[in-house]
Amino acid sequence: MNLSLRVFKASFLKEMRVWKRNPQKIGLVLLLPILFLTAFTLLMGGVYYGSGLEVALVVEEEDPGVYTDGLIDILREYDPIPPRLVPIEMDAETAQQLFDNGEMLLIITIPSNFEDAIAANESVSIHIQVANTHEDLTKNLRMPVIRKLDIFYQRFLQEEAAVTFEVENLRSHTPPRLAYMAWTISLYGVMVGAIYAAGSAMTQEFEQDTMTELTMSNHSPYSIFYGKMMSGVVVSYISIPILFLLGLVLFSAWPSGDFLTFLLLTLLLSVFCAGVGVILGAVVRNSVFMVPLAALAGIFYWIASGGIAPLELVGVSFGTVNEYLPISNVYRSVIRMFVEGSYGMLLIDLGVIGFFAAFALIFSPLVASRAAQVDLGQILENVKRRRRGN
Amino acid sequence: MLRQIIAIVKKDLKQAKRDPRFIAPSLIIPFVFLIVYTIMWTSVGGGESFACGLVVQDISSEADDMAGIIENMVSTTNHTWFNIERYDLETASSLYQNTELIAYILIPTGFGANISSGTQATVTMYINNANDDIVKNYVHRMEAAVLLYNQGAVSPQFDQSNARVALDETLSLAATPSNLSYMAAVGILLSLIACSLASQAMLTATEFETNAIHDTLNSPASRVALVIGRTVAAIPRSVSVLVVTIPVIVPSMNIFPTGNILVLAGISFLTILALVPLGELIGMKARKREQALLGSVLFTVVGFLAGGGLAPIGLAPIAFRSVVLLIPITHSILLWTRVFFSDSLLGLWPSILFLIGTWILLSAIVVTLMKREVERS
Repeated sequence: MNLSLRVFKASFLKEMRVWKRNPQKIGLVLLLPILFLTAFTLLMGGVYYGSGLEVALVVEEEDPGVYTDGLIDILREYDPIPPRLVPIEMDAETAQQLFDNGEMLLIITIPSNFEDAIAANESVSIHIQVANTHEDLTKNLRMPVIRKLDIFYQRFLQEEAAVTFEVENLRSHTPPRLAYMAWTISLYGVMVGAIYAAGSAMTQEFEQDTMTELTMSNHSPYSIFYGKMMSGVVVSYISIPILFLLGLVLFSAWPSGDFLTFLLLTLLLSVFCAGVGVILGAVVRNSVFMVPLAALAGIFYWIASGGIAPLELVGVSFGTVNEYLPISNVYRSVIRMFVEGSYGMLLIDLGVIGFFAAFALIFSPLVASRAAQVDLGQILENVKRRRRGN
Repeated sequence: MLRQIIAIVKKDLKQAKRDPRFIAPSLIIPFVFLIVYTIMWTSVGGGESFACGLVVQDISSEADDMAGIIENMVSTTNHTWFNIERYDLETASSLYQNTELIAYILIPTGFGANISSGTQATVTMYINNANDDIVKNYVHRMEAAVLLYNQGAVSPQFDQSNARVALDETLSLAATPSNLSYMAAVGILLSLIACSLASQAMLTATEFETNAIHDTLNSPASRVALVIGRTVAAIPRSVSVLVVTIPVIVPSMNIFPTGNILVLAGISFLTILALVPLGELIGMKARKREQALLGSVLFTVVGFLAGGGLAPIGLAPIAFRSVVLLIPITHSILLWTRVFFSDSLLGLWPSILFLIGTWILLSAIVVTLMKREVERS
């Protein structure tokens, strides 16, 4: 393998100039992870942030007393556990109309005999009507009501509340979920940026018919490919500062742990992904395929490696599958470091991603160089022609 | 004009046949989402059951009743709420401290004796509070278990008839669609959305790359005929992806629409109408196939996530909801899920009118941009 530092530098600088000339392209690499976070913030924000979830409250009790008012107060009071309910009192007919049109998703009805029944030690039911269009939505609508009813038991029906519970958290601080996602999306941004940028640097040569010139020139093709790989590594970091700042500004959360470790882990991840990108670019030869390949490889790893929720949550089987996914180690160490401030698996995870990065550094230019000489599309076309001929 | 439209339709369909690469993202996007979500939700038992340890130190009927509730209480989709494994205290504590066990519940010694003597008994839940969503889900489940015990609704009947205050629930649908069913149903629409946007964006960008756009725009065909012709050609082109996704998704995920299939077809038609001019705009702005595809994939994925592709937007704050309701994909998903899972046609008109309005507005913008392009060239 013939390497030249001068050719590597020239190739790298040329690619960086290409990126500078294409602000639209770089804008999209920047926007993809940011819009991804924005989409989740829009979708889940209502559960964790904002004034709360507006629900219809129908009070049929005509003579409310301590129990009815107590329950209404509990329903209205601030709850540290999301989602928070914002009951809007209305008559039954209006509530039903809004519910049928999909404008209200939950109606809570306190029946007419509520006060007397409790005072007389009789059994009574409060009624809830839930728009159960989706399992998770249904859960998020029902559970706060169940919680409020338990609080009502603990506060007003103490003789019935034989059991209570207390919660012990593992650590003093609970990071907001969306900040957690902002931090994990930064890894998604690195993966997508590196695969796409390095792959795109390869495909542009095929599309502009300059690949043959490059490989046939008396310069080292490996150095040229290294230059393309490293340009992908640089571009892959573009969205990280913005994601962390968004986490800080929107959710007042900053990750634990030190950034040098984060940079080391992501650098190795980025080198590996850029290696994959260079090979993919040489194989597919068309930038059209690089976009979905990069975006979807990134999203697969993000979900499968615990980007949405820690893997311990989903049980043994999923965690076991994840163990066999290469490079998911980076997610594990970054999540532990950011959330817990711990480095328990760091050496193992650095070792694994280091191995993959070294493998990519040694073999990606070699494989890409070989792949660049084999036109897979042309081979398929020839096979088709031969079949037609037969 | 009709002859011109037919000629444009034929030309666009020929081009789609010659270069069918737009199919790739239309299939990859929904299937990757589905595969990942199937793995994820299947392993957590339908999205409702969370892994949790249980340590029962007390030997009493009260402790047995409490443990029975924790182990067997079910959600609206009949999945148990906790995926419980029993441990001794030492093992549970060690796994928890090493973050291998995300939470465990301790029913301590003396639990039964406290209840018998009229003293309130306390159950303790230990949670690895990696984020507030975990805390929320575990606390809510524990709260439900404690309420059931206090209501005297123990396993297996969970009968609340003697409770001082019972909870009587009515659900709008006979069966709650699981997270996976919802995702599968929306996955079909997602393939159509991706195909409508990506195919039109790529087709327009290809014309810019090959300079064919100027021949097209300078042809005797009127610009309105051009836009109508391209939109009509996009209908079979976009629907073509459903030939693959419906036969794969429907039987494999065992989801069948409850609502009227003709209405669903109408929603698909409206979705294509609203998104094709948007694809055209992306293609005109990007002018290169690579960027057109990147733009359309970006818009599809983000619009899908924000517009209720993973879960309905009903819980989003009103201010955010009014933003995502400006995206046509949100309205398509709203209409699709409402009709797919329910036979009611109530509340559909606002979204139908929005999609028609989007189609007219965006088509007018495309016509104006075409005029500018001709003037510039």
